[in-house]
Amino acid sequence: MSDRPIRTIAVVGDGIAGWTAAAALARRVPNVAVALIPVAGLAPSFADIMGGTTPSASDFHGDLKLDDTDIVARTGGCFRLGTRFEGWSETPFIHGYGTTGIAIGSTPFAIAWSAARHEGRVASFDRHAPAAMLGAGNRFVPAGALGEPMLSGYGHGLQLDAPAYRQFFAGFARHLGVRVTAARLAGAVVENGLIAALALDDGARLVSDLYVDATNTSARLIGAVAPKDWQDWSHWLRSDSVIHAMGSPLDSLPSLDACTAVEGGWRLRAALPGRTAHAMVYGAQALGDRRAARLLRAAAGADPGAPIRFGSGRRRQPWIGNVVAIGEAAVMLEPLEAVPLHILHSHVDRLVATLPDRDFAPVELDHYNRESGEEADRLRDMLILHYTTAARKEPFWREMAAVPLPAPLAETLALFRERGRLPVRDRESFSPDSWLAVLLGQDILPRRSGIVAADIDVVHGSRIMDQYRVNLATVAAAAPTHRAYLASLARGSAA
Amino acid sequence: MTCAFSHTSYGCRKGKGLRIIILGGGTAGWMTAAALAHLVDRRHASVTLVESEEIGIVGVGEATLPHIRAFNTRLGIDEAEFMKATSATFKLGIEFRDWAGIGDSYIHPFGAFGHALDGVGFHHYLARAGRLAELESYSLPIVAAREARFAPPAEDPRSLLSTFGYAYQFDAVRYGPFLRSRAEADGAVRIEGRVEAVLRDDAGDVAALRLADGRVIEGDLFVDCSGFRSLLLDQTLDEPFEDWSHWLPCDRAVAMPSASAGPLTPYTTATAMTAGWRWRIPLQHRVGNGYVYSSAHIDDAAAADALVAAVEGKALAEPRLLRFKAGRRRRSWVRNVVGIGLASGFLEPLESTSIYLVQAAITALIELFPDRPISPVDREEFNRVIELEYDRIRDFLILHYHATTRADSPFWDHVRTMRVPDALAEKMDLFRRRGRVVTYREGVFLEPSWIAVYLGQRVVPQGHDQRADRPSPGALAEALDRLQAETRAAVATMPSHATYIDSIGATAGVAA
Repeated sequence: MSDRPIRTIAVVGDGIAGWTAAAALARRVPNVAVALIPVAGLAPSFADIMGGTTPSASDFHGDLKLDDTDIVARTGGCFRLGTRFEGWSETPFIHGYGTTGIAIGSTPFAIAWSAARHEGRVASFDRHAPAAMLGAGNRFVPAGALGEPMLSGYGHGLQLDAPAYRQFFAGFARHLGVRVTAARLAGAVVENGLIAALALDDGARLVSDLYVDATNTSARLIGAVAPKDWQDWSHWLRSDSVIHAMGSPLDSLPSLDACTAVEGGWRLRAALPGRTAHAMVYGAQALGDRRAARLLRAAAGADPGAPIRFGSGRRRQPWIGNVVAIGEAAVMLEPLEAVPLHILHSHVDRLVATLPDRDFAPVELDHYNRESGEEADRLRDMLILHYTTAARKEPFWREMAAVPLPAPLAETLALFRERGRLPVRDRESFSPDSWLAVLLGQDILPRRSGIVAADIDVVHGSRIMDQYRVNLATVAAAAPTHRAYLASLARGSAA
Repeated sequence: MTCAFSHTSYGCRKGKGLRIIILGGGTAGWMTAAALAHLVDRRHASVTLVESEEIGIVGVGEATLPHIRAFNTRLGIDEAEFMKATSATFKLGIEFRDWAGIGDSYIHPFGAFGHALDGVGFHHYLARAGRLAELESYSLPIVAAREARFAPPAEDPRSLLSTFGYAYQFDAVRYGPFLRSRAEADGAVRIEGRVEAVLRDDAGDVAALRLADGRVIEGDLFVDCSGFRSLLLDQTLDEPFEDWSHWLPCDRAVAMPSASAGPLTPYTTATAMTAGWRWRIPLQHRVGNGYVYSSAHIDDAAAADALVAAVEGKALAEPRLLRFKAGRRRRSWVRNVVGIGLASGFLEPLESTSIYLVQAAITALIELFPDRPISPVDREEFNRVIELEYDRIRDFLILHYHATTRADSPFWDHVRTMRVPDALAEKMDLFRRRGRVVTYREGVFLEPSWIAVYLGQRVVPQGHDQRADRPSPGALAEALDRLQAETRAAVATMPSHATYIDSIGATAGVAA
């Protein structure tokens, strides 16, 4: 019987990655002592800058026995139902979380809608999605909360104020007994390909069973063990620069973030109750730092900071021996579709759920590395999908569309274009609903339907869809605004 | 009516729908014919089945998986009527005897063990409490099976009586004719005749079948259900066979029905033998028995003797010999030929997957129903899905043989020491290490199945998920005791298997 459980864990890095990992380990793994070691001048991760989450955040918080609405209230956050994309293809579209439409007879909505779309008989796909329609009117209510059958089956993420969220987790981690060292990291002491100890800047050494590298792109621990282990994705995802700024709040608080494509990248606007986060993600060559700054200043009404450079890609082996890299120390993807916090939460969850013992058996680490790599690859494919199916003509966009796609994505697109089918893939983060929202939103229509759907009467089907759309618009218009919903929460918690 | 996707749509093309020719009238052939005739509109496709009464059918797969219920439901088949026609019984799982060691017995149930707590699998808590040996007592279908009780799952998801699924054990020889009448009622046409030649067009696709009486049956899509002969996929298109007999060396079976003896068990039994294993499938009117063996390790006569000696009730027929080889065609769909059933591959019926694989292929064919000309995208996706199904079942079957302590015959020495596929070796290592089960989204056997077979085959985890250390030993013991008692109490409310079959009017009449 193996009896070598992990008793001590050192989490290195005091960004959002380090604090969430420390808190989750302390909360979910019994009989471990968790220490957090701050790092001087730690470069912020995208998750430290942009606080959008996918619906998966709710599970992450739930596993920690935290309540989403409580986090939102305490950190000045709000909710997000998806993203509105503008300038990517001919017409703007909304990727709202969750289902779209209703089955027409036995035919899935997306297939029936595609058939009607071929004949130009139907309104855009997103106008049949509850989350998108609530978002279009700056409204919010959780699915099912009003008892209105049409307003169900959708999901929502959170729009968090990133620094406040980090502060919240820092406090929570301390409350759970995470020990925070006064000294900061000086470096990792590597012996025989493993971390023997952490050198701290007061001269002390800290020894632990497991070391978690949460030092973002600097990868201070895993980089010391394996300096060259990077799989580069920058030919598929060419954005390499980010600038960001905080602007004033918007009166009508949107429940969708706005993602606007420009000639050499895209701009994000994510609204919080008290302020608005703006960012520009771009190719430095394609757009130029000065033009990027000018565009962002115009949108935000505030001066952006200096550009942050990055390269998309991932480590092949995020877990080596007694060190595991999480967040950007392991995977770097641009902040499209709120993936930064999603990946971070997922890494932390995977770490907790597959924690090995002090033997660090290769079979357990290989398994972790493979599954975590597959997950990153599927997220990568989802982001590439946005670019490759966009309809922009500038060189930045054209060149990206000309690069041969990763094989799984190429297969998915071929299958979808031919007959509207999406293959089921392991470690896929986004639901088929989300894939459909982006594909059909960017006007990628299947050439033909399945045989069972071949008998759709398009005239009849369009009538049902129209009716559904009109009804949905009516009930969505009666839902509370995002601000009104937040106010009702505040009243509820005060009572 | 307006057509969907008008520029390509099936029904609106000039001329008629796709002419589908199914070759072979065994279980696979009639399942395919019944499903296509029922689910595909006649304007899009016509269904013709060619079979010869001169050619016998193998009729494998008397025991099924719960998926068969979805198939029957989709075809609008009434359960009692089906059970009556096929002399069927209910099935809650499979009992494996003597596999990891002589004297061992475990049941692989259609249902989970206990329930997860805080996202941590139940078996981790059992491992932590040192009570893995009691695994069976936390599975409602196993406890019910051991007591020969049956009732369908409760609707209320909070009830312990909802924590399982079920399948059937039935007479496959009667299932084909039962489906035939439905297929014909839905417009499928049956042609009696022996295929003398397969005619191909200039491109190399199959164009028609010429029968012995001179008739020529033209088609657009050919479904090869010709069984092991694989007349189209193998003999006509030369699609290579991936031979898996180095992992699954059993290549013959001898089958013999016997009279029912003892209570009607709601489960199939697979008993390990010197050179393979023996099935026992209780039907209403008889018991199906067979010895699946490796001809390299035992000769036919000795295998037949061993079967006769082991069968409990009175023998109802002479032993009948079947030959096969484990493996699959590299691709199941080649050109305009789709192989379904034995024509596309074979895996021994150890986990009752034969009919499941037929069903999976039919489902994939309907989902990927081709247009003219057939798109390579359809073929590739079909082949990807089928390959995944076969390969995952293959690894699951290999696990039963490889994870054993048996060293009492050259056969067991071979399977115990053979090199298994890397993916399986890693899965076993992971489970042995910390009870970790590798999960996937596509494929038939889910986590509880792997747990049942790992533990039943004595692949015992050395460690457990650290999170299972949270509850105090006393609280954990108390919770486990309570769940055991609740499971026992819930089973006690279930009627006997035979009583239940009778109560729904599914008892077959006197056998014709």
